[in-house]
Amino acid sequence: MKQNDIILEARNIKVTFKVEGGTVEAVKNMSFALRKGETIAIVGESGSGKSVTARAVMRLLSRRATLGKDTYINIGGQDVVKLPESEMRKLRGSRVSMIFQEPMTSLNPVYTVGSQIAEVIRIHNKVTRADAMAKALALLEEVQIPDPEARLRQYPHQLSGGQRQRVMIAMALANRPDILIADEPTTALDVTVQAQILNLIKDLKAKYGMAVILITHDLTVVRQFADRVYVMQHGEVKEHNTTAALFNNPQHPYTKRLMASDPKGIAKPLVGNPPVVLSGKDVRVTYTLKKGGLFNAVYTDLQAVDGLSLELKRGETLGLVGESGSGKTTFGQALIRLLNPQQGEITFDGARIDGLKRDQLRPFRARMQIVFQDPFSSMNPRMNIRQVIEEGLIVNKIGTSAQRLDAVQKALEDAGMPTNILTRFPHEFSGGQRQRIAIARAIALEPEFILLDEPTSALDLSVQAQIIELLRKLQRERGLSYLFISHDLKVVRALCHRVIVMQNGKIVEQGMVADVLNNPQTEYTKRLVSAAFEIAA
Amino acid sequence: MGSDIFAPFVKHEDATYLDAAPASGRFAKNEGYLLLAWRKFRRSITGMIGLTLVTLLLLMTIFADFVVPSDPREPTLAFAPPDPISFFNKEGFTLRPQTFAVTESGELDPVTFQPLNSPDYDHPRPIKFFVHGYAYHALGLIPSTTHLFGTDDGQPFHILGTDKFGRDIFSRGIIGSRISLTIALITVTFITIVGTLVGLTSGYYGGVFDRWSQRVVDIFFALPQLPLYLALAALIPATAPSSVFLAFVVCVMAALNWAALSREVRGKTLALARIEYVRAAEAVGVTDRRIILRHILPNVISHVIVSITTWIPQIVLIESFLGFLGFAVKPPLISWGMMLQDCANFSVLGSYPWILSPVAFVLITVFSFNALGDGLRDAVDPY
Repeated sequence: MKQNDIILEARNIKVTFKVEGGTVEAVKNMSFALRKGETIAIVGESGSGKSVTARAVMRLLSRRATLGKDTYINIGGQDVVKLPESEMRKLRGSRVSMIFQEPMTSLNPVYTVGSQIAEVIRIHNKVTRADAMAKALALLEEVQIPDPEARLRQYPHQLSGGQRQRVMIAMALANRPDILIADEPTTALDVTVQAQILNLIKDLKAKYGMAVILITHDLTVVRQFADRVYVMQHGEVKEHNTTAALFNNPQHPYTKRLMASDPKGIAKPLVGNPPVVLSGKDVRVTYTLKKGGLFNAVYTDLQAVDGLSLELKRGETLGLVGESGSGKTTFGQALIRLLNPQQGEITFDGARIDGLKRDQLRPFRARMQIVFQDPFSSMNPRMNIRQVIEEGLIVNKIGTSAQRLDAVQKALEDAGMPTNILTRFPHEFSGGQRQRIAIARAIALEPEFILLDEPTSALDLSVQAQIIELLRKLQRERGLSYLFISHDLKVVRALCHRVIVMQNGKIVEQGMVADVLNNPQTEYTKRLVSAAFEIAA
Repeated sequence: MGSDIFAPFVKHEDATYLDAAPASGRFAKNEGYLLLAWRKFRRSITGMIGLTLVTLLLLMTIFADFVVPSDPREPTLAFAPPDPISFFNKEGFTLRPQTFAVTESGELDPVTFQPLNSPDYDHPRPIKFFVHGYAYHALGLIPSTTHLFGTDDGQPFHILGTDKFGRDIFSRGIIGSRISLTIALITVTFITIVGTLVGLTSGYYGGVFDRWSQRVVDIFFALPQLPLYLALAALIPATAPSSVFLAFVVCVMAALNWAALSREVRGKTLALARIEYVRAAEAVGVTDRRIILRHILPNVISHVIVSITTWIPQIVLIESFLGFLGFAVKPPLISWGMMLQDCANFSVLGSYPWILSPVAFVLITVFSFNALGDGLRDAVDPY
């Protein structure tokens, strides 16, 4: 290994944040190096300090952060820790570029795509506006955006998420950087788009001989794209090795746990022919969109759920799969009457519930529950844990105060939470803990059916595995039926008996999980399956 | 040292830390909402200044009779300038501040032969704390003659001079704060109750109800405020008792200003009504009333409190402005607005600029409530 191969060397990065009543070490001790043309991955769960490390390298830390005095960062022979801000600005965007997780907010909505790319070019090079625009066009072609000439004059909101991330990549590449830092570049995107973006980065990297720092929590992505891996936890490197060696022979217990946290196993097959708990027939939800003004209004109907039917048996888990905007959440919420479908027959345990008014629905509410995707917005921040869980019992007039307290404690225990947290508030808990509390709230009412609306997608991998295990356990013990809405086919494979694949409000495919995932019939399902599983291959 | 950075690396450590299952891990200290909000509030310097000033202001208003040095209704020399406070007398420097009564000096103006006034240096009047002055009832109950400060001899003492009837402006300003702030508080109470109720129901139920109630709000927004104040104030007969006039001013200001708060609350409610914890409450069968009271109101109330702190100074301003135009409470009540009536005449203002000093009271009040609101705004959402 020749010494001058190294274009980035970082030693003893230490970042502390000032917080109320002291400091927090976000990064304790992180050293890494990057050679020309190689891809390293920094892997870790949320809060492990991986993004802070990347920002430290770019010197983009917030004002409340301080670098440790031993921190040494060398980019292409320049010690950037001591570099003045004006020199650093020249480095950023020209020799080191960065792309961020959220393509929706990292582009300025009031400028056209073309002018934003041209701006990056003109900051670092003395070129005319026309030349910069020409170069921007070439870049857009390079990142394979369809119809690049038209895109140049478009505004960010006219582009899809994947296209915006391509624009971000074009901006990052504008000055042919030596190093590209990609901070969770695909987390906010649909699975099929995710694969395209990663492949694009890989191609461009090969073409220009860039070095890439890939920051991610997704081990499948790491295995596919990285040469070497740094595993981070609690602000320090726990293990570092080449990708092949690390995956074949993980050494550190944390690495092992991360690898083991991919959802495993399959649902236990149903015994006999249990009765149907919930069924929907020809359910239709339509949103009316208005275009134009007062006098030339054009109303168009958007079929969010286009006459769909499903049946869910007792003790069964049915997966509802599709990309964002496919109508799966709308369908699910319509089935438990959180939304009012325009049309359709909905039966719960033999009783028709589609025409019922709100107070008529109340007897059914306790028997069907819902767990939401985002554990941070699904609990009232002003209520303590006991109030959160107990509310359903109170409004359904179940038990005395003492009996309700027992029920709350039992639900918490079953959800794997300690029972001494009753007077605490939701903000004191982590995402995984909150999701357990949300599950406790759902099971406190002893429901027969739970609608699970992406309950694991906002969580870290290892936490995700725990929640899946918890859901399985509860199903086993209580004979629950689940309708599991997800875009993550790996989780679906681990948890569901049957699966329904949705696209644009229609069902494109359904069947047993093994059949659909191993032998997808439609083009759309094939794409979903390959995006979810084949990146790993 | 250069190349070993690429060598495979495993951090060796006790495996025990892995045993702590996430569910039984340590939790942050148990902290309620108020404590969190207070900790955040303490960090805001303007907010703390505002809080201190508002507290002082309220204390001053409650114990107004005790704080004032002179009787606010007793006429003395008209348009007397502020009494100078000096640390010097005939004997030289003293630590005790003192003032001098203005008397005829016995000399005559050499041109007009009018008697000349000048401070009576022979009889210094030391200023002391807790002196005896005019009699009053503290908090309307306890008879007392003790005042926070004043001159030794219990005679009137004019820090900010006197008005056209020779009444002490400083004392009137402090006593006036009672009416001015009471008007503001009562009005803001009305605004808050009506605005919050309309905003909550309109935002939560949405649909046709929302559309119509917001059109009503639009109408209140569109009312031309100034002509309406003037027209309505003119409707009241000059002989009407002060309480009627006071009630009337409060009603008009409340009626004209609830709409803005209701719009604000509605916007917040619209967002909250679609948030997932409200959906989760619906999913367990919670009634509308309980959702509004337990889930939406507690999350809106912090914003309402902030807007109260911006509405109080607004009402104080409107009151002083109406007073300046001549539509204020009638004597014997005292309010800042009424005191400013005297300032409408330019020649008076030019000769006796100290009669403008009620403006300073208004200024301090507006500033302190706004500063308090500024700090609260950041603190109400501590999560």
